[in-house]
Amino acid sequence: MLALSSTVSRGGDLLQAQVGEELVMMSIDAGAYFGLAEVGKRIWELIERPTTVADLCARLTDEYDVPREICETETLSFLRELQGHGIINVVAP
Amino acid sequence: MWRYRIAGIEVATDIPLPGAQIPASVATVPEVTIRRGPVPQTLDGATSSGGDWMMRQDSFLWRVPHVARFLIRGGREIEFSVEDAADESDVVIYLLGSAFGILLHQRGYLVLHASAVEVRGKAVLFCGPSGAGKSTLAAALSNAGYAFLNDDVCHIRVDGGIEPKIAPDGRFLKLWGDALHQLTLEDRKGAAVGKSLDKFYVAPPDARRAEAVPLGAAYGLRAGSGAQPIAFEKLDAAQAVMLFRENAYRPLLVSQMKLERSYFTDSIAALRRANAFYLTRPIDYSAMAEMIRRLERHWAEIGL
Repeated sequence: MLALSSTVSRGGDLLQAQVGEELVMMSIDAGAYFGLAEVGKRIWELIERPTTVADLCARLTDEYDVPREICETETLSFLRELQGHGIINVVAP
Repeated sequence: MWRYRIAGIEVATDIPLPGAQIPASVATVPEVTIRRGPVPQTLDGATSSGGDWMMRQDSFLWRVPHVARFLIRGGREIEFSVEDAADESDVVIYLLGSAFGILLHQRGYLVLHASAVEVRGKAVLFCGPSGAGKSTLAAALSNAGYAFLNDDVCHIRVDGGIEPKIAPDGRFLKLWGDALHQLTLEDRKGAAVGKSLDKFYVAPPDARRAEAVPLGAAYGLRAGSGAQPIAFEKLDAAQAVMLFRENAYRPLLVSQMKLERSYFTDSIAALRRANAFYLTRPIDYSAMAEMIRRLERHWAEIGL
């Protein structure tokens, strides 16, 4: 169960490339494509190395001037989506 | 030997190809040779196979029952063996179509199931499955003065760092009899495509373009209905890459030949310079004039 205390990082075997403001990713395993922009793209950058969701949100709250609770709710939601597609690693504590 | 220029590639063959155009001048050494040969029934040590094909490294064996067997190697040669007493014109259909498409896949190109015309120095592509109306649209646009580039198979050549280009097919259009009639192209009608189809080779109305041109825009064709028959929807980059992947000439071969990576990289290179759109429209010839007007308006909007 993905929570604030979980450690997340990028999954393997993904191709990625920047097109304008958009980060396009492809999972060869999943045969799926993803387009990330703005905050989603920033989150992807920040989880290049394993980080806890709590630390990730602390960073995002600084960068985006958004209330902590909203940031946490939306970040968890986004990460769960990525997890559902099998493109991130999640280690629950 | 006969010499042709197909999809920007110098080809030498030992049978004439009525669907292909003869180049004005030829390079000394052909890049691809096509010849009759003793093609085996099976490929030893095949690493993957399907109902009518087998593959091992850069050798691809494909069989069209009662017509021909093709052995396509290294993106440089096609050997074929005619089966039974098949008519050569039938063999040519498969040779110029799927066999050549497989060869293009072997060369690692971004090969799409698409038609293309030239608009002010750029290539405009129409992707879609068979029957979506790609060829008819290209023929109609060609009639309207946009130089014809490709009918059915289109490859975007991405040569490291240089702008991705689309070379003219060098092949004739293949159109069904009724489309020919609707587009009033009877005077350009050439040989029949095979013995039993009501389909014909048609010299493109305007094929003056001889060199490759950069990509201007790509459209994924979708069937429309009722209320809003013609609509354009811009795709974001991820959707556009997916459009290209879905419209690879032989999607299964892209994964079998392990070309996913190069397809991704080449698509990105192409899409950094041009956009892709869904084009929803009715499959109705009588609306073609309106379709062309709407496309021209769209091209003006996107700066083509």
